[in-house]
Amino acid sequence: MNLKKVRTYKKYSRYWEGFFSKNPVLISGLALPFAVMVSVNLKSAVALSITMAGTVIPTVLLASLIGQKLPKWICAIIYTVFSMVMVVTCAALILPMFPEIVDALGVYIPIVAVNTMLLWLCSKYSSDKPSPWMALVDAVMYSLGFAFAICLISLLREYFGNNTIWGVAVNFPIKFSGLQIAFAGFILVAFLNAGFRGLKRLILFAVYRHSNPKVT
Amino acid sequence: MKLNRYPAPHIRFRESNKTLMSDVILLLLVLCGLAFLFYGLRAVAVCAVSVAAAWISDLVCILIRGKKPNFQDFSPIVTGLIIALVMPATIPYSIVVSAALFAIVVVKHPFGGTGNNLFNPAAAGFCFAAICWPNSVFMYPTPFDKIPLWGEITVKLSQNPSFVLKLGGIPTNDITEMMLGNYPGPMGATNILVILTCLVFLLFRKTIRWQLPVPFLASAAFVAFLFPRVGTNGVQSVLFELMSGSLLFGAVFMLTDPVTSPKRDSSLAVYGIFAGVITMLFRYFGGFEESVPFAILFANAFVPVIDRYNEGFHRLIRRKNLELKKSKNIQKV
Repeated sequence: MNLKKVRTYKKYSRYWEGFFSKNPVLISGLALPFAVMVSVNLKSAVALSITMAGTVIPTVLLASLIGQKLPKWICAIIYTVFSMVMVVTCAALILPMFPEIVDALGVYIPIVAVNTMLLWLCSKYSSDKPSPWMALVDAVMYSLGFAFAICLISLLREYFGNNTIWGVAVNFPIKFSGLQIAFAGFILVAFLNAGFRGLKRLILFAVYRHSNPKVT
Repeated sequence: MKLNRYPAPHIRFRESNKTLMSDVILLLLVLCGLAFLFYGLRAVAVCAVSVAAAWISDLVCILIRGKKPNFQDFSPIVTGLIIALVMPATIPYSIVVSAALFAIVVVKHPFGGTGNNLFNPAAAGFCFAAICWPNSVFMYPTPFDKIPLWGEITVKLSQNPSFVLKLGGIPTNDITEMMLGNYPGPMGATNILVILTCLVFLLFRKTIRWQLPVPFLASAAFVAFLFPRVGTNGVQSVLFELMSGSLLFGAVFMLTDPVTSPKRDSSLAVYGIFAGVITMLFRYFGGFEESVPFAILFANAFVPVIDRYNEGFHRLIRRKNLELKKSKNIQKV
């Protein structure tokens, strides 16, 4: 059994695990309220992805830089205050681009500051050996992974549930308006989760088969 | 000792899953025939499309899961027929197909297929259609109207008496006509007399146990009697509540699904009462006039809890009896 290629794949996939193999929404089940409740149209998903990236990347970088130097009890306060400042900044940035979407998102924009993905990454880089470079890579990849997942879910729900893409009507014979409500979001996330886990296993199996063609 | 584990339904009689399903299919076909008499060929076409969609999707899911297809498993046919019969005869074919696909692909197979599903697939399929297309699902043609097999539906559509009750009014339908199914409603759920006969047949054949539909109907009737929505007496309220919508149909064909109902007789009674009360609560406070499939899905989620606590209760009784016997023996000695 030759596992050299599998180990090499796992070693290099560490850099993009936040995007694919540990996708925050589709594999790890983090930040689910956004994936289920907010992702009903592509515009909301893009606005939320920008806010998430603008909040997660600086906050995780900050956690990796000062996390070990501060007592734990104060870290949570500092990260939350810092992320809230970043959320306010990002909201000001996306407001001119999507004014109606910011209104529609309502409470979901402020709670980006305390979402599970952000808190998990902050705690990871506060307690482990701090590596600002890996923190930056992870924050970017997890933000991209979140954006990919939420945009995919939104695209499907908007296309099949409202027969529009980016607010523009598209031709589809049947309209599944039930996809716009939360239960459909949960079901869609569950199916995409299963699909991505299956794809992950297939890729790993293909890498293994490449170096072990005859071994069963 | 070798123990073989099999999924539900656990049948302890000579009958098999196939014979039980055959009984239900036979009765559903009778209702389908009555729907043909009331609404013409369109009703049969809706049933056929629904059954075909359910059966094909079930077969595809089984193949995708890498299992061997069992052609003696009639459960997708039952699911397809139930979905079709709780719909109006004018329902577009695409909605029936979507409901059947949802029932099989989303509700049945992700949990492990026949015998493993937590929720009733037919109820879930109907709920999906009701949420997505309420205007098509809750508007019914009048019996004996000529409905075209294809193309645009031009017949007059009207609401079910349950909608009148929801608005706080008194249905003007004659009770005898309602018993015979001669009023706008789901194409297989309006024939009250026939459905009651089906219930008696299934009880006589021991396909279902009386501990489930009887407490369900009794609790629904009790709530209707105590809190009538119509401005008349409790008896009239009970009659209209039980005969409108698909309450009776749901009690006979959906609620009694052996896979999603509890195992013990006492659990069945508790489950039936719970589902009956929930059905009436959904009718009184829910968004749709049709509440049975929603209530059944809600009650399905509590089946493991009911089974678990009921088992604990029975163990407690057994232990108490044993202790009592022991103490009597000691006294004798």
